[in-house]
Amino acid sequence: MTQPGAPVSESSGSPTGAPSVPLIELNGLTVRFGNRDILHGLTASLRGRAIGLLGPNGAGKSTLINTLLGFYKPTGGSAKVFGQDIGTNLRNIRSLVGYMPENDAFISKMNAVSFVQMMGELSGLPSRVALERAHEALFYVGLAEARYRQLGTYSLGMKQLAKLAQAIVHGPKLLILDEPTNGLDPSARQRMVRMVREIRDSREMRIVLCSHLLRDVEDTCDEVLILKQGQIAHYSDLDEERRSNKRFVELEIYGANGDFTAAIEKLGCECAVTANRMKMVLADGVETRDIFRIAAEQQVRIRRLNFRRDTLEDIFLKAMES
Amino acid sequence: MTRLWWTQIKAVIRLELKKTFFAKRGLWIYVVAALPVLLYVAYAVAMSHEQHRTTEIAREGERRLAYQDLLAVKPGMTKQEATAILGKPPLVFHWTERRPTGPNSTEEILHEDLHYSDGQNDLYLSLANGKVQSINIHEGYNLGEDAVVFAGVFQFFFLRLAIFFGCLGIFMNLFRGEVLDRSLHFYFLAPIRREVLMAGKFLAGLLATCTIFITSELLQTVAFLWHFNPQTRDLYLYHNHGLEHAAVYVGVTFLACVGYGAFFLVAGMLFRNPLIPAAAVLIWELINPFLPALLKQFSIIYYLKSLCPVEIPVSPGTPGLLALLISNADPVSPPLAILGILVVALLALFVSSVQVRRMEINYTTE
Amino acid sequence: MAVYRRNYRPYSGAQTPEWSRFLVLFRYSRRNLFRSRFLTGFLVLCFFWPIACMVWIYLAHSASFLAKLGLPPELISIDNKFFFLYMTVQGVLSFFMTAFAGPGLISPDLANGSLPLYFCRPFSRAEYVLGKSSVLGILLSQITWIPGVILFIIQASFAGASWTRDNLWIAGSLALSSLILIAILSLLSTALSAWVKWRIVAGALLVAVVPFGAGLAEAINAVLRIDAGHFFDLRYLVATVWTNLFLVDNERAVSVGQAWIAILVYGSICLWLLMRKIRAYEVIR
Repeated sequence: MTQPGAPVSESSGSPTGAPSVPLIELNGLTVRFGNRDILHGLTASLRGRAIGLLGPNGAGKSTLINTLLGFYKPTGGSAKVFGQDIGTNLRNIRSLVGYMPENDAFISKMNAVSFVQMMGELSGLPSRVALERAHEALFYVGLAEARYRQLGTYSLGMKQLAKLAQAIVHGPKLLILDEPTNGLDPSARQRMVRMVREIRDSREMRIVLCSHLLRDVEDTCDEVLILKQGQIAHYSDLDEERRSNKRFVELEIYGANGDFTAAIEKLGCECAVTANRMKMVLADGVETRDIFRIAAEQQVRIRRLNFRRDTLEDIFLKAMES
Repeated sequence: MTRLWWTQIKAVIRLELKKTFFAKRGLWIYVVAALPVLLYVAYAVAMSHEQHRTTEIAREGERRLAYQDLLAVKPGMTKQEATAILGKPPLVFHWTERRPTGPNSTEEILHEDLHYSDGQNDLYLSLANGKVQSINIHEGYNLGEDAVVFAGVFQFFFLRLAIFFGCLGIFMNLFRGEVLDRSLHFYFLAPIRREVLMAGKFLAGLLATCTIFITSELLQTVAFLWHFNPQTRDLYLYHNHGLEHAAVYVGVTFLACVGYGAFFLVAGMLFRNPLIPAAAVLIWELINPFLPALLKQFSIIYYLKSLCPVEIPVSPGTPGLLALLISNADPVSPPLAILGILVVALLALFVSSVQVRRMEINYTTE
Repeated sequence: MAVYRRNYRPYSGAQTPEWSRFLVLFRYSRRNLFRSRFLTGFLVLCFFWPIACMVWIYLAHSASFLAKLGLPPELISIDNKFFFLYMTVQGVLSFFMTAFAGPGLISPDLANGSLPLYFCRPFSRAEYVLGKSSVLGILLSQITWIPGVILFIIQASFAGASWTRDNLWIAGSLALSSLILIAILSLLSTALSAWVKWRIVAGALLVAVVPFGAGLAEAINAVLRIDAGHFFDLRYLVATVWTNLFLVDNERAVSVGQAWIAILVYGSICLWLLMRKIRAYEVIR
């Protein structure tokens, strides 16, 4: 028996709590099929606990994942996962990774326990341990009752869960999820998203989630890489975005006249008023209590105050337009 | 009602033909059908080249030779005697051999190879010290012999293997392929009687196999006769039953498609795995010559062999078992053979129609 | 940890050696294969001929039996021809066994897209092919060289040391001829099933490809008046190598060297096909 793959540093090295070892490093990574560049010179260093890969269909998200897993050979540049080069340390990388593919991937004439156990054994777990962990993984993903049923008889949602179970059975350090909510009904989608969040929050695994559903990524990830036509269109640290966008304020006001707006503008804030809604960018040194004070003076009722931030959709659309 | 059924059958045929003719998964059937054609094309090219060569040799010879002249030379004749019959050879190769006769002595032998041709057949004479040692006549094209080879290839390759597997591919695919593609329920949900659907599918399969294999058969005949000179060709076609044979081969091809098609259609409905019936039929057809007369009648190849116009002669060296396979011990008369195939096919179609009514779709993953 | 606790637990225990991972695949594939009662029945059927041969060896050495029949003892001789016949029959059965068992090994994985699940792990394509082929290898060994060598040992125990010394090469021939057959059948069936992806179609193709090759070979030889058609007949090529291994007099149109080369070429083509198709994802260019 040997020990599992190379240890991975999990120490927090950044103020956001992101680990110091970059999860994925891309250095001019290029992948070409025939005459087409699918990925074109990607360069990035991703450190988040849960990284979202976003992009429209055909942007190269799945190709990037498949290249990181060694399914496709890069035609140029290099990539590292946990600091290990995909060209030279592929086997090591694979022993640290759990992968849930996008498409149907199962063995029809096997029940879920045998299937997950086999996948565990192929990852290096001893048979007995693999069996125990297969049961655990299936319980964990919520397939406990159906675990002795043949996979061929599973519904689409159950197959997705079985794929998730096989991806985590061997205790990987990195979980790669390719469109995990594909084809799921709303409640199954919510369950899947909740589970991904749980895994993220357990801090035992880091996650790369590839999806074209912005909501899924927004709900689960703290870092987003947006791809467009095989190139990086935008990189965004969602936590950072959330913090920095605290100066955008949205008000719902009643009883206001031009004086209220003028008073706010006097503070140095930019304002835009539509009907009973007002959007503003707070100037440096201006706090929300100043707004409440002016409102009280002007006898304006503030029904609601929101810190408006760019949603992922805004970020995505901006990235697509750029 | 009959008019509606016929309209529906035509619609099914139209749909199925598109699938059968242009399906990527059916490409191999075209390859299987084209192989014998390619073989005869290769033969025609080789023969044309050979003919050209022998004509050249014959022209370079001192005199114009007939086949009888080639046969007139006997071993032991001197070179002078041979050249008196055949004239000066157009091609001569000679070399000297030193053969040891004792510890310190050798004997010189002058070897000569003379090559003659009558424009069709080659004669190779090997001479040692001016005497004919061996005679080798390499016969050129011979329509009679070629017709037997054609019949052999037709019976043992085209009929038993190409059409057999082609029908297996096309007819099994009609229902089993739809189950694999998970598309059969579209048909079953349509307001069409299942028997009508079955008939439409069978006719589409039959049309496809007949088109592919009859075209192949006709092209084989054309390629086979290509290299013969027009006189020989006409003689064979119009006076030696050549045209009649070609028509019979087309008919046998059609009946083979009907027989095997009906069988594989029902097998495709009864078995999930076509391997089992295919292997069983292949073995059944193979052991057919050893079966008692009654059981023989439950075989398609038995009737088809009875219809074939040229009997394959069993050469003296053929092992007993193979000889039995080649010979058709008690052939039936052509009308009875045709009737037999049609009865077998109708029986299979009847079973198919019963089966298709009972058929339940269960798209399990394969 | 109790299985009812819905918590994720990392793993940091010992792992199995990497070289042994292909055995996992072997174990599971074999278990799946023997779910088929038909296959189990066929495997039992495959032992009938070795048992018959065993009885024959016993009778050949039973003086009283031969005396009863009034046969001289040398009439039933257990020699290279006997073992060649044994291998010929078992070879045919091996072919059908491969046709039933072989395609079910790889094509379901391809049809259900499970290859990425194997290859995202520390598990290579070569290990995958090795794991799957070894199922066929062991299965076919059970019906070819293992009973063959047992028969040889039984014969040796009856015939004595001198016969054994003189005929030890037959045991080698049994093993080598079986290995050739197993290798080519395994490669052919795995390659065909990887190519067509459907288990049943792959099985049908395997059943078709060998008789079709033989038929094509005969047609080529008959029409073109050559012997080169035999190169399309895998059955003939293997038989040519076998006749040489068992020193059986049999005039062959193809030399042993040519037959070896042709078999190697077929094997290489199958391997190339396999390596092209056994990928996590197929790249459509």
